[in-house]
Amino acid sequence: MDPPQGETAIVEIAATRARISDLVMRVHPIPPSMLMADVADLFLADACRDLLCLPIVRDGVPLGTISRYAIMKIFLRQFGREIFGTRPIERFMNSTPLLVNVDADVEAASAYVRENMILPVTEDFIIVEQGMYRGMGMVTSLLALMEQRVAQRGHALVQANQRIKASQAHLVQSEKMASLGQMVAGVAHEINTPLGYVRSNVELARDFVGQTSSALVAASNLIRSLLDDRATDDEIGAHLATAASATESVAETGILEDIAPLFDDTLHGIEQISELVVNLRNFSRLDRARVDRINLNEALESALTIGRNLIKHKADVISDYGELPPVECAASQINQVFLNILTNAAQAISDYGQIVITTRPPDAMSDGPVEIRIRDNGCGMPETVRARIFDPFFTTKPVGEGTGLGLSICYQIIEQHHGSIDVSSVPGEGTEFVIRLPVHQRAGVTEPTAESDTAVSGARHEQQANTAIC
Amino acid sequence: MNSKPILLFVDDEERILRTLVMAFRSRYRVLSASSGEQALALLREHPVDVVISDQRMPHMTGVEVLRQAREIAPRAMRILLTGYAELASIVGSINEGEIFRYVQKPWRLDELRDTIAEAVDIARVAPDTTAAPATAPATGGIMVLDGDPALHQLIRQAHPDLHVELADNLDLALTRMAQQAPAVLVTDLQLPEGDISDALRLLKASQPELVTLVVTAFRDTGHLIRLINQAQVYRVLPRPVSRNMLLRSVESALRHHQLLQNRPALMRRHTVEATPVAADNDVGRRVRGYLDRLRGRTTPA
Repeated sequence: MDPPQGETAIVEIAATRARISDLVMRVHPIPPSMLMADVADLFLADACRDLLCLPIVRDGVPLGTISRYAIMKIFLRQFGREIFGTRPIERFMNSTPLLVNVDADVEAASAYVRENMILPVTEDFIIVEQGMYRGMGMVTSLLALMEQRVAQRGHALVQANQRIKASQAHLVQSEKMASLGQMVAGVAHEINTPLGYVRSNVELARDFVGQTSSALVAASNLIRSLLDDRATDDEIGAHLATAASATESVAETGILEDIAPLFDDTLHGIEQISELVVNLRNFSRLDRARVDRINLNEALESALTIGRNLIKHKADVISDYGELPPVECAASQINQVFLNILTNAAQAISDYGQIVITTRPPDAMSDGPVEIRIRDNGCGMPETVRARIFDPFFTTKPVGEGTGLGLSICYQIIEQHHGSIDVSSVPGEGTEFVIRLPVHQRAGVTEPTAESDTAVSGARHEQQANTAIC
Repeated sequence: MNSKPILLFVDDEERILRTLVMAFRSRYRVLSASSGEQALALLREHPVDVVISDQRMPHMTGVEVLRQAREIAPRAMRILLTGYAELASIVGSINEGEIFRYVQKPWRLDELRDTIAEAVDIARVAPDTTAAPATAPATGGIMVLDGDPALHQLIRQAHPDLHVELADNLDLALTRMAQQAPAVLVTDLQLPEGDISDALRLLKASQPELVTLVVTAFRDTGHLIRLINQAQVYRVLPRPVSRNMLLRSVESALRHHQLLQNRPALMRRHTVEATPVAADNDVGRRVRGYLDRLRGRTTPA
């Protein structure tokens, strides 16, 4: 479910909400000529118990209202009832009552009542239909209605928010899968190079063996004839000639000099493939505890191996590693952060450049964080982009390339490790990320997902930003 | 040219170069370069017959090396040998590199030997020259095979003097083509009757002078590699196609067709890989029917 459906839900609730017509109380109106004392008696009747005021209507047209409060004020005067009780109510009424049309929107009506209401609240409002009296409406009912609507809207917002979070968790997951897929494809391609020459070398070795074996057969025939007393000189001569030409043709091919380097290369290729596989396994760390004490220099090397296919043709990598203490962290998550920033750095370089990785231990005698700096001399980014690069969904890549979640996930991961990640950039000169991680974790590091509040609100910047703006 | 044919291998991994040198030096004179720049320098100095380049290298990609090789040494046949099959490099190798084959790492040595031997043969008997006709000829029509008439309209407006036909299905296109063989075929890969790559392969195998321009939203890399090796498509344009790119490619395809007509030996440079298209394949049967009609024979029922 995505956010737009959340908005639809709100609209639906608005459409089914209560209206002003639901508030109409059928209060019998009083004529303007009714005597004040009689009106006062009406207020005492059970039917009018809840009403703050009564409507005064002539020929169906509301003229005004008379409130309990107004009568009380008059009657509280000395001889008030005696003097004024026999006068028509018309003289004392509020001739500018609150009039609300029966068709009015609840919110508009509520706003009107709030603006025109006199404090303390002494009057309710008259509900009219095409200027004619329909009934009375209580301010408290209107408030209750509004409260109900706010609650409904709040509920819809909660639902919308849940849906957004669910879709965000889904996106985070697809981003993970996408980067995993990219990584696996990259490593698979990376394996193709050593596999290419290993296979070719083995096929060559097989050919070589075929060629040398004929020379070997000729040589052993020669030896046999030499050891054979019955062999004639002619026979020995023939064998000698065959053996000589066979060994010579082997020598001509250069096989004998090549066979040793050929096997060296083959073994080197197998080493390369093993290293890639080991790094792939280390990288996922599926066989390790979630929070581990990690040598971050090794983690960086591992990320470089995994990302090699993206990095090697874009940049020279200069690593300046300090002596780091083992750092408590979720290895696979930290690896993901390093790979993400390194591949971004490579993508920021349009032709061929440099990536400098610097790691530094905490200051001596302090329990401060370790510091990892990753700097590229790529295209850099303007401040407007830099300020947003950790924002979820912010991306400068074309639609379909990158979800814009990469760096926001990095931000979450580092934040959940109680560390910090900062970026500085100069357009045209390059970008530097600085990650600081505490050596020890105060509490457990949790899996970053959109469920955690920091996933949405806490993440400020994003990734990939420094790539496509080139 | 009785001397040993010259191969040039380009790869930034020295071990790849070493094994290739060992594998080919008995039959050829083998040059190797560990960068694009070095390769281009060697191409200027030596009459190279076949250049075989890796794609991913620092500073210069294989596609770029082969694109420049077309200008520096047009006679040399171009082969990409790569472990990376990304869409951009495949499309680039078709449109810019105009390569003969796209070979994936790890390669099979015997197959690579055959491919290179074939390329060497062609380079020797059908040397290319850059002297393509300056303007598009007024001969030879264009067949547009596409469900959407927009491309046809665009091309017809640009070439009012040419016979530009539209067909929305393969059968209609083949019927029309049997009446008048076009110079250029502009087609999508996905038509109502399905994928027509097999048809393109068969057509190119039997009508090497037909220049094919594929316009497609299709992104399957393996498929595109087969279109290079087995159909020698001239250009692949991604959908939605830009007007300028389409018209420029059509121009270029017409010139290329003219060149092939003027110098039939050049057709050999676009020899396609022997393809195992099943004989009972529906598309195969239709194309064979068309080819028979073209030769004035009747198709057995």
